[in-house]
Amino acid sequence: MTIQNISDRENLQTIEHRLKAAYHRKSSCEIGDQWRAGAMERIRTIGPLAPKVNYVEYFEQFIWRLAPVACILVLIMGTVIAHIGLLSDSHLVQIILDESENAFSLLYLTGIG
Amino acid sequence: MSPGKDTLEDARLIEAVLNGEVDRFELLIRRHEGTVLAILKKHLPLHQVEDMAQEVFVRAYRSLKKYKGKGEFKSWLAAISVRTCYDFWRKNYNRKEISWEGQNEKERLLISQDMAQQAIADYGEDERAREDQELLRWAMGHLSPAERMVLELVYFEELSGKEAAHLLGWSVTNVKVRTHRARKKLHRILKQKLYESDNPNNL
Repeated sequence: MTIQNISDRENLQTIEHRLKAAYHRKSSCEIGDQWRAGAMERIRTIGPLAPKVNYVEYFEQFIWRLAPVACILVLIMGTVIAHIGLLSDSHLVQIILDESENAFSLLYLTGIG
Repeated sequence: MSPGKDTLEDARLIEAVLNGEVDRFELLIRRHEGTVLAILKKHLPLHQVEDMAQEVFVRAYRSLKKYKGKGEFKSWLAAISVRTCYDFWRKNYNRKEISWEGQNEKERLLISQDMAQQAIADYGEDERAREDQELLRWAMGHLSPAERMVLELVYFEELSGKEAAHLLGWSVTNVKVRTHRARKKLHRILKQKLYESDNPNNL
């Protein structure tokens, strides 16, 4: 490829000036509008961005759902403790070893069965 | 509209988009398309500008949560635009630069329309402008994508090393070193072309 007008011995600075001018000239060209619709179409396909997680709200939603379950557990544990009394671990182990056939009977341990 | 009001309006729109109002993003596009298009037109072949403008705004949408309000939204978009241009050249590196005659029809039409609109009456001026574009395309085609980008930002647009580094996401040292090398390489290429023009029988 030959480039006309360089053969008249333009120095590097002149050529660089031409390059700069050509570079800035490009920005004056008009571009159509169709690309905008294309961009929005792609963005709508992606869909809404994942919302920021509000951890307090998230926690509150679950904690209140578990509240009835927590109440029932508290009642059961309270009943168990009321019947067993507050036994020490060693006493409890002794009971289990002495009554091994009933070792795993919750009813026996609570005195209900 | 004052810069402060611009920033507030952008913040309001961004919050709406992050809350799920996707269509509001089009308002952000319209507010900032001028900035993005100006950058893309300088760095890319004109027939690629529309496709890359879409790409810039889709990338901006996807990473909108990362924009934490530090600095202007326009600056954040400008950085995305420059990096999209760099990615384009990395993807299209080693493609042969084409002469004016083999140019994409759409790009020729765009440049021709621009010249007509500017009412260039002097045919010599018109030819000179075309040659300059061809010279630019030829010279840039000999540079790597990184060399091209730093030369355009630092040398043609006269941005500081720090500004160019921010746009590209590189260190300032990296920008300065690449700029120096790119300019030396450009001079070497142009000198070689000058020599070939003056001594055609030695080719």
